[in-house]
Amino acid sequence: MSMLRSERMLAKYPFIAAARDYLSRRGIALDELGSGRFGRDVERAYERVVEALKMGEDAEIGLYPDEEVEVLSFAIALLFVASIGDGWLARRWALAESLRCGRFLEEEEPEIVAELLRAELGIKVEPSPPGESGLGAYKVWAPHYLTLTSRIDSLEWKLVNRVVRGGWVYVTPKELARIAVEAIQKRILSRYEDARGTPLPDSLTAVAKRIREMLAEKRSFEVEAGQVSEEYWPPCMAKIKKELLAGLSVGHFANFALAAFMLTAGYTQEQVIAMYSQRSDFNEKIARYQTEHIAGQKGSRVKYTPPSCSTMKTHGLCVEEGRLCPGIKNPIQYYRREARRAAQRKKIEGRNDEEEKRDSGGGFLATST
Amino acid sequence: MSGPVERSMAFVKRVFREFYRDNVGVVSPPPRPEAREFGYWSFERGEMVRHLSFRSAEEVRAEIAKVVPLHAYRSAAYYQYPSAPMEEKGWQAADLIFDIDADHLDVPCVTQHVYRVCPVHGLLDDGAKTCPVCGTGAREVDWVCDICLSAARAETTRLVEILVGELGVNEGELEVGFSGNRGYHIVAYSPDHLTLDQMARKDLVGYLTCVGLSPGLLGLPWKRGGRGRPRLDLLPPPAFNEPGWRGRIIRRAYSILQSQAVPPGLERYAGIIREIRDAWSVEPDWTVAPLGFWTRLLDEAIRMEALRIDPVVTTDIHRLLRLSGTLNGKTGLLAKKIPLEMLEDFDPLNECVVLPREERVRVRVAYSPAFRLGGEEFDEISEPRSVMLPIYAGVYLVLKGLARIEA
Repeated sequence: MSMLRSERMLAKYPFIAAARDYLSRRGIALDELGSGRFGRDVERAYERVVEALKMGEDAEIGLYPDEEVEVLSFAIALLFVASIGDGWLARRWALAESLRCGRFLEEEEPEIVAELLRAELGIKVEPSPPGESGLGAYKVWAPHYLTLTSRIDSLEWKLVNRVVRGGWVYVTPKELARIAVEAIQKRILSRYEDARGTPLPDSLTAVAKRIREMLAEKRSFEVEAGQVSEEYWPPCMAKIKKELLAGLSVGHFANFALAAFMLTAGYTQEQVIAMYSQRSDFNEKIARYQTEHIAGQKGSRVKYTPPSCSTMKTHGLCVEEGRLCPGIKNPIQYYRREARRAAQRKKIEGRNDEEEKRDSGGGFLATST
Repeated sequence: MSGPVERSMAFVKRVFREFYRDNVGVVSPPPRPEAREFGYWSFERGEMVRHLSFRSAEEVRAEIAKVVPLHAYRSAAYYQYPSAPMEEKGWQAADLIFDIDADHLDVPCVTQHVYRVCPVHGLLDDGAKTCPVCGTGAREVDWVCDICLSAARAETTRLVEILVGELGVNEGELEVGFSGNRGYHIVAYSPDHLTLDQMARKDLVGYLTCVGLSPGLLGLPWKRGGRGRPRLDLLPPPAFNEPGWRGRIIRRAYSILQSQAVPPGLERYAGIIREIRDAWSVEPDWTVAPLGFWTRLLDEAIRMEALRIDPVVTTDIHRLLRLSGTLNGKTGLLAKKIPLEMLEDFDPLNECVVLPREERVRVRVAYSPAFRLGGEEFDEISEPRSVMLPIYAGVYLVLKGLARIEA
C-alpha cells in the first residue's frame, strides 16, 4: 500500500482511495471550488474533460507538473461529468483517463501494477511461482480476468487461448497493465455512477455550460441514432443496436455486421455513422471511412453483404442459436421476409378497409390499397 | 366432458399431488429463495406463470404442494424485486448455470430416439405427418436410453473437472442434478462467479466449447493461411500430462492416432500414419508429419474434446432453471440433486423414480419401445393395446405422449 501513497503516485492515479484521503485532509468544501484560489485546478479539470470529449481514445491528458492540482482536478472533472450526467461523455472520459493511467503503468515496475490491482481495484493477482513463470510472470484469478477482459476484442485475450490452471490465468507484466486499464475504467465509471447528478456549486456552472455546449455539438448524431427504426430487424442486429445505444462496448466484427446489414437493408451512411457515434471511442473520420468502405465506395469497391447466420454464430452474435428465426440463413433474409410480410398484411388490411367502405356505402374513393 | 387426454392428465396430477403431499421436504429451493423469481407450468392452463416470489424455502414448498405444477422453475438470478416486471427487477447476481442435454451430444442413438405416433393407431412411418388411418396429426416423441444418458453424465463429469480444476470453482460450491428427463444441470454458487456479466459468461462458454480457440496461441501446429508457414521444430513438443486445453487436445490427438482406423479427413495420409504412430509412441514430436496433417488431426481432436453445453443457458443471466426436488412433467421423474461423489455411478432411470412402484394402473399404450425404468424391464409394445403398469411407468408413458389412462 505504501508504495502508492506518494504524491507523485496520487497525481498519476488520482482515482485511488488515498487520493480521496489526501483531498479530505485538506478540507476543501464543494462551494469553495469556484473561488480564485482553485482557478488552476478548475482549468485543468476542464481541460481533462474537453480533451477526452474531443479526442476520445487519442486524448493526451498528460501529467500536470503540480501534483496537488493533478489530484484535485481529477475530482473536479468527475464532478463536472457527474453533474452533466451524460452516459456517453462519462464513458468517453473514463476511457481517456484510464488510457492516461495505462501510459504511466507501462513505465512502472510490474509489482506496482499488481499492487494497484490488488489494493485499489479488488482484483486477485499473484506473482507466478518460480516454476511457472514461463507461463507468464503473474496470474489473475479467473473470474476477475473474465470480467475485465471479455470486452477486449481480440483472440489472444479469449480465455480459451490462455494458460489457465487452478483458477488462475497467466499473464505477462504488459498484459497485466492492460488489465489494469480495464479495471481503472470500470472504477472511474462506478465513481461516476455514485456521483451522478450531484449539483455543482453555482460558481462552476458556467464552466459546465461550456462543456455541455461542446457535448451537444459532438452529439448531434445521437438524435438520429435513436430514430433509426428497428422494424423487421432480426434479433441479432437488434441486439447489437441495443448494446450500442446502451453504451456497451461492441466488438469490431459486430460493428461490421451491423453496418453491412444496415447498408444492405437500405439505411443511409449517415444513419450507420450515427449508430457508431454511440461508441465512447467514436471518431467521425474513421467511422465515415469504414462505412464508405463497407458500402463499396472506398478501397476494394466491394459492397459488403452482412455475414451469414453461421458466421454470426461463430462470433457468438447469434441470438438464441437461431431458434427465433427458423429457415433463415442470413440476417438480411429475415429483414426482407418480415418487410414483405408486413407489406402483404397492409395490402390485405387495405382491401378490408375498402370493402368496409363499400359495405357502409361510403362515398370516399380509397386513396391507397 | 373431458376427453382421454384430460382424463389422463387429471390422473397424473392426482399422482403428483399425493407425491408432494407426502414428500414436500424433497423440494429444494436454491440459496436466498427470497431474492429469486419462481415460475411454473400448471396442468390445466398451457402457459407459464412467472414473476412469483416467496419469502422462504418453506413458502416455496407450501406453494408447490398447493398448486401441484406440471413443471416448476426458479431463477438463476438474484433480484432486488423478484416479482416485478423484468426491467424493474433490479438484477444483482446470478448463479453460473450449465445445461447438458443428451440430444446435444454426438451419440449415435439420439437419431433413433424420435418416434412418430398416432395416439390411437400407434407407431407411424418416419416422416409421416398424419396417421394414414384416421388422419390425426402425428405426435413426435423424444426417447432417451441408457447410452445417451450415460454420455450426458460423462459430459457432466468432464465439466465439473474443468470448473474445479481450471476455473476456480470450489467443489463445495457446486450443485449437480439430473433434470428429470434427459440431461444434467450444473450450478456454481461461487461468489466470484455470481457477478459475471453476460459478456464474461460468453467468454467462459467459449472456453468450455472451444469457440474461438486458436491452436497457434496454445503452441500447437496451425495453418496461418498463405505465406509464412510456422516452423514445426520451433513449437513446444507435445507433452501428454499438460493441464488445460493444450493437454486435452494433445491427448485426444494421440488417442485418435492410436485407434486402428484412419481418422476421417486424413485418408490421404494413410500411408504414413503408421510411421507417425510409431514415432509418437517413442518420443512425441511435431516434425514427424507435415503441417497439413497436424492441422486436420487437431481440428478433429478439438471438435471431439469441446464440451457440449447449451451456450444459451449459461449466457442468459435471467434464465429460469428447473427447481431441484420437483417432478418433471415430461416424465414424472424427480429432478434430483446428486452428491458429487455419487455422480459416477448415478443411475437416473432408477434413482429418480419416486412415484408409486407397487400400485398399478391400466393404460392403453399406442406404442412403446422396450425400456428399463425403476429396476424393471418393459418389453416393446409394437401394436396399440391395453396393459397394467406400475404407476410410475404408466405416468412415464402418458407424459411421453405414448399412452392414455383407461377409465
